[in-house]
Amino acid sequence: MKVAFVAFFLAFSGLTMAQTVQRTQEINGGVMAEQILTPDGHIYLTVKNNSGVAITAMAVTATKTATGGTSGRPGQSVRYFDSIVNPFGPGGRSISPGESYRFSLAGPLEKRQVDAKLRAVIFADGSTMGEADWIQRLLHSRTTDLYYVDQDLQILQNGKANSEPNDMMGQKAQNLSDSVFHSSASTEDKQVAMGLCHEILMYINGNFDQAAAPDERVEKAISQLLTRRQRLLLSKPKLDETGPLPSGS
Amino acid sequence: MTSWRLTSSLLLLLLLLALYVGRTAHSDNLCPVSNASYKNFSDGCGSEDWELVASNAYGSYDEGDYTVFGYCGGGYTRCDCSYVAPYTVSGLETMVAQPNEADDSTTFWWDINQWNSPTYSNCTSGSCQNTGVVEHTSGYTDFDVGYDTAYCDQ
Repeated sequence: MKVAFVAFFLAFSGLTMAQTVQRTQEINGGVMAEQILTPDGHIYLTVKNNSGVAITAMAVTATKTATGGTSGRPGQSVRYFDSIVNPFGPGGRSISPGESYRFSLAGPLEKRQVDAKLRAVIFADGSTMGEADWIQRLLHSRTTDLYYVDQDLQILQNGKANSEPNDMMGQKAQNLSDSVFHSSASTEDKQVAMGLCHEILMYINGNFDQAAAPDERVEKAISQLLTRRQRLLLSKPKLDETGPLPSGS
Repeated sequence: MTSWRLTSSLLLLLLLLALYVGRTAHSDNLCPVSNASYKNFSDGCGSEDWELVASNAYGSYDEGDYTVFGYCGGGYTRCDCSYVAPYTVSGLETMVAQPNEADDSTTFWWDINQWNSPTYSNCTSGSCQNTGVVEHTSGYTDFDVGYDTAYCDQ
């Protein structure tokens, strides 16, 4: 179904029509990025893996600067790809040698000038390319993810052991997410904490699998978290489980 | 002298109160951003391509398109012989906004639920154990959406 949708999308969105390459960027000869403007007014950054190792994570920014018809301070968009932090669905697959990945950066309503830049890349063997601070941001997101996965696992596993109702477990997960959202944590930390909470609630409230009994829903939420945890623990470079806690926690 | 001090103190108190109220009101309404996303198209089976757009008093922020996967389910007989009519479930995109008081801006992103295609297993009991099926659905939160910042000091 997803392959069919992508084919449908390509056929009708103008991506198969003429595109304008606005700029290119190459990092160490191993990764090539092209900023592309499509006829329907969308701007993408297509990153091609020319190295011999699969890519597991990337960080991209797009500076959006006012032009003649607009005003104001330049804005910055941040985009990530991380097949470790996001192990499910199409995003869960690393980018093999020779393959490309496309970041969506702007659409036809965006009137500012867009300048995209590939900031950092992490490969499956643990090697990295790009700017040190952005590599650290990618690794920090993985560490943060592992931290909140463990926190949420604790809530669910303790709740299950104590036969707590699903509502109570959901409330505890929500409280954790709310505390991060209202803290001084980074946007990335907030996204991870809120995203995990949202996923848990979708499972234990029965949204993701209505046929499952309440205790089965908790099992599925735990299973989902354990898959995430395993993926993080096996990732390279190895995460320091005893490392510093995420900012604001 | 006492009266002058009292008046001065009262004025100072009123000034501080006005500053506090102004600051609180400013914080509450700091650079509000609303979700102006629209659907580019749907495949008729729950999957949709959305144009993720935010807007504030100064204009639109078009962050590009994003595919949100849903699914078509139903059209099968349960283990208890009841029929489940075909149905469609769409993915869900919800905007999250975080005001940044320090620089008069708002950071925003979309929390996106994606759905996997349903799977089916055989029945282990029920009147239609041999002909019925159990439908299993699942999904996940998409963490690859990124985020953006809108400024209100234009």
